Amino acid sequence: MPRWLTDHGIAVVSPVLLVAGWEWASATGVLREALFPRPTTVARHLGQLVTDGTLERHTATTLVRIAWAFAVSAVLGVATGLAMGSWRRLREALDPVFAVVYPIPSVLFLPLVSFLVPAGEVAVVITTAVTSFFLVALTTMHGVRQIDPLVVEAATHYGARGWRLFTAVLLPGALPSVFTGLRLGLGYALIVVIAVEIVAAGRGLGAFLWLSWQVLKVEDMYAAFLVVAVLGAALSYGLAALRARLLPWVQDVAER
Amino acid sequence: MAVATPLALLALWEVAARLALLSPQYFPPPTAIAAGLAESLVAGDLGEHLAITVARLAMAFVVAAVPGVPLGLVMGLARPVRQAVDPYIAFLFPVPKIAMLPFLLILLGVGEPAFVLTGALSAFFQIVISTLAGVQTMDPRLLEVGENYGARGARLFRAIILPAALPAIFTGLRLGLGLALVAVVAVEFIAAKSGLGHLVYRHWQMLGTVDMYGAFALVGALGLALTRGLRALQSRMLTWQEDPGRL
Amino acid sequence: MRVLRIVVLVTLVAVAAVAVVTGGARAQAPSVKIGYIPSDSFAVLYIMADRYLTPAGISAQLVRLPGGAEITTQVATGQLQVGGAGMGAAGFNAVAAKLPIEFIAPLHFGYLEDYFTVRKAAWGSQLKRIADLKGRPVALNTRGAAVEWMLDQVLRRDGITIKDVQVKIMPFPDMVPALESGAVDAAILTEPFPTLAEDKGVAVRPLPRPAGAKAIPITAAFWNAEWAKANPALAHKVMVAYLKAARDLAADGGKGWHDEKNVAIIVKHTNAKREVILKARPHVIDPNLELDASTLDSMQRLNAELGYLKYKELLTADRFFTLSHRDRALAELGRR
Repeated sequence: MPRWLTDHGIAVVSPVLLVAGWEWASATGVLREALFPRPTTVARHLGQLVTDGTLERHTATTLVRIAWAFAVSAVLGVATGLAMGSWRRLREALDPVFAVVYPIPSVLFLPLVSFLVPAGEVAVVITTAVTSFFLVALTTMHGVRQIDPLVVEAATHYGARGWRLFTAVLLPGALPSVFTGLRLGLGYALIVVIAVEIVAAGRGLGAFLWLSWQVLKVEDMYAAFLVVAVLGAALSYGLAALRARLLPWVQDVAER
Repeated sequence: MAVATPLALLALWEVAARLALLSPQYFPPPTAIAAGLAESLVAGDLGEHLAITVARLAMAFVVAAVPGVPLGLVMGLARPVRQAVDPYIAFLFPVPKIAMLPFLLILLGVGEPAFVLTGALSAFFQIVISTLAGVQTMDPRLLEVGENYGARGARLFRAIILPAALPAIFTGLRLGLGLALVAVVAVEFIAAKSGLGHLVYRHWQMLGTVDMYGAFALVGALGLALTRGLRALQSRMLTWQEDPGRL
Repeated sequence: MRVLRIVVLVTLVAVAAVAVVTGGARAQAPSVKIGYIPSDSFAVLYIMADRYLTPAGISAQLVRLPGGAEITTQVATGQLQVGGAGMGAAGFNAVAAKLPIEFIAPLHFGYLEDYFTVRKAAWGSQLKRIADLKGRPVALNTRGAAVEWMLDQVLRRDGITIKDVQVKIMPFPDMVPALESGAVDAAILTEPFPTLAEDKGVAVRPLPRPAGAKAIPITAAFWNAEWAKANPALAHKVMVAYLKAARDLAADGGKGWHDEKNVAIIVKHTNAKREVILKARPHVIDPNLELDASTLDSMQRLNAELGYLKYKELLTADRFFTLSHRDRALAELGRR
């Protein structure tokens, strides 16, 4: 048997078997079909949602929110991280604030944000951006701090200062960490936006998923879940591919 | 020194609230929050809810770690297993676990199993991936040396592979615990009727902002204690490893 | 060996999951688990459990859940025996999908005028009549539930529909600051929030209740059909207890809602303050659990229009409700 078949055979066959098993169980009543619809039914519904534009609408809404939240958290996060990495005073001042706020699930900030900003897109975007901001800032800061001081010394010795030092040494040195942080931040933004949409939004994949559950349109619920899963994969692996392209010198070590 | 900035911010908040620059209805002064917190802990049910959240977290962590670490190890050591399991891990890892909540609610009903499982799933994939990475990225020379000295199978595993993978495993457990906390509290906020996350939601519902911020602060304290505590534990236990990492 | 262990573990978990799902409906619990949301709309269930079931030796356990969909699903899978929820898409879809749920009676009625709240600062100036809400933001706490229909009904009185306004979804507490700040101009609020908002001077309830107005059934009670079939005597006892509880609240033309003994039970299960409940506008329930089927049609039609229903042909009242159980209880206790 050719190697590639045994290699990838298992990877393909087992999910196929699982889906087939579910189809059978749902059709025969082992699983209650009204709550666990057949995969073929879900696929059909997914097709319907695509053709009538529902899916496009909600996905677009969610993506726009993620984009905004990511942009805000990336710009502010990288800036803050670089600053914290370079100035000890700032780092020491902000570190305790970060340590307390960072582990709190972003969605918990929703009440706070809703008191400050009228309920709407801005509130959703800000809440989504919170944890991503901290992630990006912390990893960027770490990225700056882990640059080999000898490299910095050597560069300064050769006359690099201020801006030149920054662009030639600090930035490239921190870049892999920054990228990791951005990637994690984007992943988190997806997680949080779904949660926030569940609680407080009328449109978006999270809202659609939750609404389908609330009205017990289960086929739509499963379809929505699949779309969210695909989105998650696309964002995660898309960025990984991007990084391989832009930063080829970095080996992907301990993280996917 | 480390508390200076937070204290300064809190003082600013206190003043702003007292002077009504910030609406005291929506941003009550920190002293009021602290007082409410103390009262709820002593006389009220806040302690109960804290215990519930911690219990869910502990269970989620155990449910994630007990199969997660062995799975990661086996995946690292046995290629067929890795190939069989990889598609599921790769597919499910980037999915926000909160999106699985409706499905789990149907499957397991609205109750502890669904909440704990959502938290466990959040941690599980991280733990598996980190453990796998720990095995895969270990220095192959260590293996060689071990084999040269006659270590095989279980002995090789215990003496060489496991210790080499331990830092990555530990990091995975630490990150997993953090993810589990986020997931558990988020699930409580959305769908549970007990726990700190639910309290924040409930008091938000009743506009009981003092209690809301109290519960919120407790979540922060819990997260802080866990992250710091685990990092300290990691440095203590894995003394040969230099920096366990910022996160 | 290790691989084998993992495979066995996974298989066990999968089998257990299937068993939970299919076994749920079969499980015959001697006690009666009742799903509810902590709102005073569910008062009949509280009184039924505390005053009539428990003392009769039937272990009645009230299980608090976050929302109607959760209660509906849990009753459908048999994890709960009895539940209540707003008459909304979840219930409609569940019955249409032939899940083993039977709607047995209305749970509470209300007057739209008690729920429809308008921003005080705007009423009388920018908004002189309901139709002025066209294009304006209005707050609802969820979709697919009775509140959506209620808003639509209010709007239709002045010639517009829910599609003409900008619906903003937010939890009830958000609505009070939202009304205050002008983020929304109106809301469908449930007690105690409208009373709270009025007290704060933030909002008004501008619609007077027309004389002789009929209250509208907003929530309904249901149970698991398989359980009822397997335990007919117990189910009948539950129905009778339900009817008695309803009559306690309907007593004296509705004064039962403010009777101290009843209020005490409501307070126990809702965490609301006694004074707030006493001050709030009371709900209504028919002492014979009668209900107007036309509301059902109207609700389904709106849900269908908004795309929430999985079926095309409207369910008739006798397909949606199984009123034979109520009728049997009425036969036993006599009509009022």
